[in-house]
Amino acid sequence: MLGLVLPVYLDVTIDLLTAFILLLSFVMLSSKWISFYIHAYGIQSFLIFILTLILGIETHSVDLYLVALLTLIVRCLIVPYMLLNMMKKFNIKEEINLSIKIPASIITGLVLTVFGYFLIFKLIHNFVPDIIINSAAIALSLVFIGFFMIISRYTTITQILGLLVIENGIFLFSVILTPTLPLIVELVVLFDILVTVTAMLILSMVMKIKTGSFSTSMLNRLVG
Amino acid sequence: MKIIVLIFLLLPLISGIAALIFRNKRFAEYITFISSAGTLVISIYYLLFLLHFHSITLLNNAIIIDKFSAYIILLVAIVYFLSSMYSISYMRFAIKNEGLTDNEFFRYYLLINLFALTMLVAPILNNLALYLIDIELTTVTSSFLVITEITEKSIEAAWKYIVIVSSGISIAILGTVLFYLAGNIHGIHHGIYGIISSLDWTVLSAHAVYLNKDLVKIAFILIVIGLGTKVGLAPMHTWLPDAHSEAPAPISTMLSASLLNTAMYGIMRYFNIAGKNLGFNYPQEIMIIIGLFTIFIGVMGIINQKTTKRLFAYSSIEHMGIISLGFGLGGVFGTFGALFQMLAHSLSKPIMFYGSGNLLHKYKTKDIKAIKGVIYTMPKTAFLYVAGALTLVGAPPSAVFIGEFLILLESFKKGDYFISVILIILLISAFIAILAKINSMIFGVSNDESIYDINNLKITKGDFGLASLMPMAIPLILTIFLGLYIPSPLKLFLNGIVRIIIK
Amino acid sequence: MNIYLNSTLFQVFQIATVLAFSPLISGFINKVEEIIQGKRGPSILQPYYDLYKLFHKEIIISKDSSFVFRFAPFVSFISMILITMLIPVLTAYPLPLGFMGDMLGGAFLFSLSSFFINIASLDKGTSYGGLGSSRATVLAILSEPTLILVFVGVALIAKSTLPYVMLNTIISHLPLYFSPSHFLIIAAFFLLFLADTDRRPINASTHVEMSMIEEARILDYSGPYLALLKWSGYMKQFLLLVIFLNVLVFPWGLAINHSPISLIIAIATLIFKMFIIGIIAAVIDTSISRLRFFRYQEYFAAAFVLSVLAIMTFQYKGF
Repeated sequence: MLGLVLPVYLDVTIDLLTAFILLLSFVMLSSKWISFYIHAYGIQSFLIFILTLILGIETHSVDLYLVALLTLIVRCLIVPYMLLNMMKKFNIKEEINLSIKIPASIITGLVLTVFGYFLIFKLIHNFVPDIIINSAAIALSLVFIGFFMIISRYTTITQILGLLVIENGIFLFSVILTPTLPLIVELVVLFDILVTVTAMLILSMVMKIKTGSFSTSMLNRLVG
Repeated sequence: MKIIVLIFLLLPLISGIAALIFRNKRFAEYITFISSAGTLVISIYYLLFLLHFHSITLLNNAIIIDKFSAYIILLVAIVYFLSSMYSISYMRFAIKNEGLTDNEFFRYYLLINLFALTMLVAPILNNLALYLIDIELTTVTSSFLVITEITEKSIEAAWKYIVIVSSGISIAILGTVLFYLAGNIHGIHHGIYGIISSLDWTVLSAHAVYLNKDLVKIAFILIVIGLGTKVGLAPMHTWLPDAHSEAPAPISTMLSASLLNTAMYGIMRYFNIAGKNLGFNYPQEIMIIIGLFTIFIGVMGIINQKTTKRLFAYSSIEHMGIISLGFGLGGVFGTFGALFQMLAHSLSKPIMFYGSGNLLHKYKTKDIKAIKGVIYTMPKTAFLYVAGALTLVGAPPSAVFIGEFLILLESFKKGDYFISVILIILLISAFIAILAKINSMIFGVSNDESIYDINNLKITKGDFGLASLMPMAIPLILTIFLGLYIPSPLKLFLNGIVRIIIK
Repeated sequence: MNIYLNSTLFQVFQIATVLAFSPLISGFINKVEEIIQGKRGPSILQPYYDLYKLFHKEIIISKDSSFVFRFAPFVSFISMILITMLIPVLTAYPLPLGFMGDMLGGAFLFSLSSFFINIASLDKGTSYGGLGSSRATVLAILSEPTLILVFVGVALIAKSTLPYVMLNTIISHLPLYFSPSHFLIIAAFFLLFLADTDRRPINASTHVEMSMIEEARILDYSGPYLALLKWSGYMKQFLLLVIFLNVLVFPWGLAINHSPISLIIAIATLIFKMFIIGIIAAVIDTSISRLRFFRYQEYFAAAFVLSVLAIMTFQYKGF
């Protein structure tokens, strides 16, 4: 998107979309139920799909269409489906185990967002337009928030989701800043997400069968 | 050359799938062994070929094998070969002692081949993003190898491994995107504008001066954090001891001796680009700081350890710290030393992990305190184990000694006496700690008299078969040989890599 | 027909509108809630009957109470009238005395009213008064940061804290109207509105001792004093809605000159907008459950997040 001048209404749309993407990660931070969490992730991915589509239309790039389509299929449909399917299979109704209470984790998320903005301003405000700064900062904040989710939640599924939020952030970052990134890279990243999530789901299934729970808080035997 | 590369990649793939399909245990063992031997032969062929040529280029520059790649391939292939040999012995005992099911057995042989394949592919890829994805695939395959024997501990180790390393790789991908962005922003060098729209390291390295400097600074830090997670650089090393200690011994060896090197290879590619862009001081400083910290953490871990495999896992961390310190000190000696240390690490770690595997099957425990008097129960293993430990801690003559000595020499040469002093103190601490622990295991006298009882049902005297001893003996001979004499082709080859990295 | 009214007269009309229609909106929302719950409910005009009845009752004052007790209803009532002068109830341009204070001034007057009611309820020394005022203070403490940040957000967008400037800025720069900052400010302010007007999930106006806040504060008042307090309560809700609708959500339909027609149009649109938002508020009120007192912080944390994000996502794009 560097050097790309968008009409004002698209600027505004992209701005709104990215803001909602960020808001959805806060929804995830504040949710107590896993299925809610997964749905929020699905919606977030859907918004990213729309954003990619808009950029694709504006740049007349077939590559971006393809990336958008695959994003829709992988991030928005397959991955949430796999997670929900797993929950159904094991009849999980567990609440999320939080090591940090919800208000505190929301505020931490805020601090991370501010940090993301700060970093982006330090990093790239010299050579990119304002609107990209906003989107890039939000993308970076998603990465931070994803890490925080991994740290603060003690369930395998939520840790997977944390990782997926990080991936979403990186994807957003690369789409916004470097839409010309070679197609093969984006494709392989999506493939990688699929493989990693599948592997993690299998692992957590094994864990459920062996230990009877998805909670990772009891994984404390190996220390030192 | 195309055909050779193809065979090289197909060998592990076919043997892995064949092992799964035919479901014959002997067949699975031998086809893996044969494929690993074939891979080793081909990797040596690369080495000889590249003595005279600059690089092998295939598929429109998508695959490039230069001296550095070939070197890493060689390290991976050696360990793959040794591990496939050792697996024959180890897995039989796993079936006997731990009740490994057939399914788990064949899954193991599928995955060990795929794991080797992913590691062999990593160094030959030209595209940095693809390289990272390949590293992620090594994580996936090896995390399932960690749970070959499904226990609560192994699940915990595998889970920590996959979560921590995957998030590390995502940071590295972010760093790579920043590298790409740095190329896409107009850079000026000698009044010439340049835009680099590529993620091939050959292109980035050739046109590094056009990258945006601020972005490269941040990007390199992200890469060191991200790939450093995989390498086991502190403080991102936390998955490493768990995964290494819970995996079966052949896998621990592959994780430690080849996977870490493969990830280090990636850091050095970025190191080269960042160095050409910013001057080598900046990336070198980062490598020195993180290297010293890693050595410190590794040595502290070694001192605290109570189980065998965790001990050597921390020793791996320490070695990785030494290697990154070596690269950080730079110069011919430092870089050469670090490269040599990579080889030394790949040769001495297998001895220790395979030895620990033998001890595990004999004593049914990893606890250092519970293992006593190995010299009485398994004399041959004990001999190789002690000799291996000596080479591991860097007693001359051994390859590790040469590597560490060269790195120390570079620090003296540069006048960084502070680094030399710290390094010497830490190395001596590791030396003492490891040898004290090995000593108590091998020569220690147990309070439990039953160990010496010939009729003891629990521990019978005698070594395991040849397949358990050869994988220890071969690297031992090699590492001692390298400690005494470095063949001039190898020296030439390593000098070539030094030129690739710091020029 | 070019009759132009005096602007002072307009200001009087503005105050009269607030005084006259605030009980109506309150009654309307109550009615809608009852209908949603499947009941017939009291008449829309019920608040008027209440006020009328209370004004004709006698005043009973505890002999332990001081002048503060008698003072508070008047302070509260007059504060509301003063706020009316500061904000764009009917006109898109400032009327006489409209520059007395900005949005912070308005917030100050709201706090002043609340403060006097608090100390009045503490004044006579009953346990319920202390309970109510302490809870109200906790709520105020929790909501204050968000309120301030909403003002900061408005100030960022409009480069001013005057409500009239804000309204005209977003009318003249449509991209600003559609910017995420604006929407997030709206969301944050709406959460504050729900909390400040005793709606769920905070819902302070129950008569159960366990959870009552607002009722506990005015428990000892009777007769005209109570009427004044209730009336100022209605006005507070009305004024918050005015700020919400005319400044933030839908700043169109206000009078742009002094003609009587635009006055009538302005009043009609205002009431119409209020009815719509009243229905939304009623739906929200009936569809979610009350939070426990110790979980209020989660609610306010959400509002706080929205307001901070509003500030973070704003940047001047030179429209």
